[in-house]
Amino acid sequence: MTTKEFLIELADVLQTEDNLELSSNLSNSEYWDSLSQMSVMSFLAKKFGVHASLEDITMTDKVSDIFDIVKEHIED
Amino acid sequence: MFEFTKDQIFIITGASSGIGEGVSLLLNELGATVVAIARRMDKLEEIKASSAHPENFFCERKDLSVDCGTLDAYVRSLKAKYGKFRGLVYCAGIPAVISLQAITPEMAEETFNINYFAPLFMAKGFADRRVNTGKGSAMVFISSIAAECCGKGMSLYSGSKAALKASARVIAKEIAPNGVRVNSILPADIETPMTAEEYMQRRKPLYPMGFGSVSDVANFVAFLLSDKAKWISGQSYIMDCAALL
Repeated sequence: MTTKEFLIELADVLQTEDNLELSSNLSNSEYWDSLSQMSVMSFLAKKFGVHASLEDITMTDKVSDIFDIVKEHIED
Repeated sequence: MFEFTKDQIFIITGASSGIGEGVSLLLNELGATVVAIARRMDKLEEIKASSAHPENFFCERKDLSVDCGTLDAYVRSLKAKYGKFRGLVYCAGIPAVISLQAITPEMAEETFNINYFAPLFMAKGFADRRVNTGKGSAMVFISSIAAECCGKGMSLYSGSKAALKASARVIAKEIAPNGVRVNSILPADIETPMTAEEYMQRRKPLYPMGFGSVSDVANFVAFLLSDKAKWISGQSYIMDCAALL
């Protein structure tokens, strides 16, 4: 998966029409809530086999924080 | 009464007859735009022709019992075609009266597909923030009194409708932060094409005030979809006029 594909799939998981960038802020966005955090955890486990802790996810501020968890699986 | 505007778009399933038809016509009459879904396109076109505002009545042919797991994507495709939805009313359903010993896996699958899995995945699609209009939007599921009062031969039907009622409450809780309300209605005997004449004659003594009508349910659905019901969510309402208590 490339960075661009990651951003598109993450936007789908978060159910947002925004074009996400690595610098996009999550903590202040309307779509960053407990349900979407669980969806992101499920997404990381299903797509990358990475089991992030709830703390890792809830402490997320920007998209890049999630990206950092799986960046070794990103191809570009 | 309450009014809707044409930019308030509602998906109605099972819209070619009975409660679905009644809800579609009423919402359209009240000013809303309706996307009516059913298997029978010819019947949908007839209903559209009889609607108060046919220009705001759109017909979609779809068999909801097939590939239920893709219905969330189907709802998203409807959003791309019509815009964001204000509401979803799931009326499609099939009756199944059969003894336990006669039940086959195929019957069980068919009943649960249309009565439970289809509304579940349509709800998943509707709950997507990109699909609904957020605060003020609502879903209504037509469950059945059979979810509460069981008769012989109703294990599949009662089970599927009880599952729908239970899931509706959970969904309501999950998506409340997004401003989307979810309720279900459990009608008792309503005079629709689904109810056989012989059955209705047998049930008549139970209803001192007569059977319910499609419009009785449709009016309540319209209320639950309106802003008049903005503080009502996660509820399931029996409509039986005290007959089966």
